[in-house]
Amino acid sequence: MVDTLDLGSSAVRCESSSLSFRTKQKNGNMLVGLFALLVFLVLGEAIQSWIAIPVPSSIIGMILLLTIIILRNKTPKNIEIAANKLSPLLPLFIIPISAGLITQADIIQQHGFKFLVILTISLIPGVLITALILKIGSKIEKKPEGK
Amino acid sequence: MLVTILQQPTTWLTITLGAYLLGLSIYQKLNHASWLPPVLSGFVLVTFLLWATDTPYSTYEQGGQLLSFFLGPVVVGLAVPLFYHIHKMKKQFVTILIAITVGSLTTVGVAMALAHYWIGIDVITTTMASKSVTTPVAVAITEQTGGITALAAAFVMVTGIIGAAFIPSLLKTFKLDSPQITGISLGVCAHAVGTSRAIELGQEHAAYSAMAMTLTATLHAVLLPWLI
Repeated sequence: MVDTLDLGSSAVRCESSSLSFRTKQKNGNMLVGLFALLVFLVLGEAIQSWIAIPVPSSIIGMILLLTIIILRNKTPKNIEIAANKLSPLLPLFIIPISAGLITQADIIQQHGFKFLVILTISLIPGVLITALILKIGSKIEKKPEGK
Repeated sequence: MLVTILQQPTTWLTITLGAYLLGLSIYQKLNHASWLPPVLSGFVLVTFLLWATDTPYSTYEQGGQLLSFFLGPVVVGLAVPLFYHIHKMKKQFVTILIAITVGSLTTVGVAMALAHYWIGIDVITTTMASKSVTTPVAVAITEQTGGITALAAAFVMVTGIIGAAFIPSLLKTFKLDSPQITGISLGVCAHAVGTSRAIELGQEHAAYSAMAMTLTATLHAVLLPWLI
C-alpha cells in the first residue's frame, strides 16, 4: 500500500519536472551504492577471518574498495552517491554507541578529570610535530623549484 | 503502558532519531558551534532519558544497533574521499604522509603513556589508543583491541572538541599557521570535529583537514591493532 502510494507520487513528480526525475534516479543509484559498500564490508570480514589479521574488517573493505578505485582511476558513481549520502549522517549513527557511556559511569566518576587532562596535554606535542614536519617538508620541496 | 513502550526497540530508535534532529537544529541555530556538535547534544539527551526512565542500556541497544550497523558501510565509503585527496595532493603526498604518521602517533603515544603511568588500568590505556581517529574507525579499532567502545567514542568526542577549539590558536602562537598546516593538524588531532572547524576557516583548510583525518584513520586502523 505504502509502496504504490510512493510510486504514484514520484511518478507525478517525474512528470512535473525533470529535476525531480533526476533526484529519483539518484535515489535508485544510492541503493546500488549501499549494496556495493556492504559487499566490500562482507569481503573485508571474509578476508579478516581467513588470514586472521587484527585490522578491523571495515578498514579491510575500505582498502579493497580504494584499490579498485585506484586501478580504475575513477570512483563508481553509485558508490560515490551512497558514500556522500551516508557520511553526513555519521553523528546519528554514533549516538547509540556514545550512549553506552552510561554503563561506564564508575570509570568516568573516578577518572573523568584525568581523562580531560590527558586528552588535552597529548594534543600539544602531536600538533607541533605535525606542523614542524610540514614546514620543513615544504621548504625542501620548494628548493628544487627555486634553482 | 509506558513501561511496555519503553521496552520496545522502536521507541528508542525513534527517540535517538528525534534527539539527533533536535541536536542538529540547535547546532544550526548556534551557527555551527564546534563545542556542541549534534552527536554531543544527541548523546546527552538520549543518556538523560535512559537515566530518567531507568532503562538498561541492553534494552536501548536493541533499537540503537540498527543505527550502529551503518558505521560499517560508512567506513568502507571513506575510500571515496581518500582517493580524491590522494589524487589531488600527489606532489606533497610524501611530506604529508610523514607528518601525519609521526604527528598522530606522537599524540597517541603521549596519551597512552600518560594513561599508563597516571591511571594504570590496561583497558583504559588500550582504549586511549584510538582517541585521534574518527569515531566509526575508533569503534572498529577498539572492538579489535579489546577496549571499551563507549569510552573510545567519548575520548574521540572530547579530543575533537578540545582540538577544534584550541589547535588554530596554538599554531598561531608558534607562528606555524597556514591553510595547509592548520588544516592537516586539525584533521590529524581532532578528526571530524576538527574538520568541521576547518570548513569554517576556509576551503583549503577543509580539504587538507579531511584528507589528514581519513589518512590518520586508515593508518591507525592498520597499525594500532598490531602494536597493542
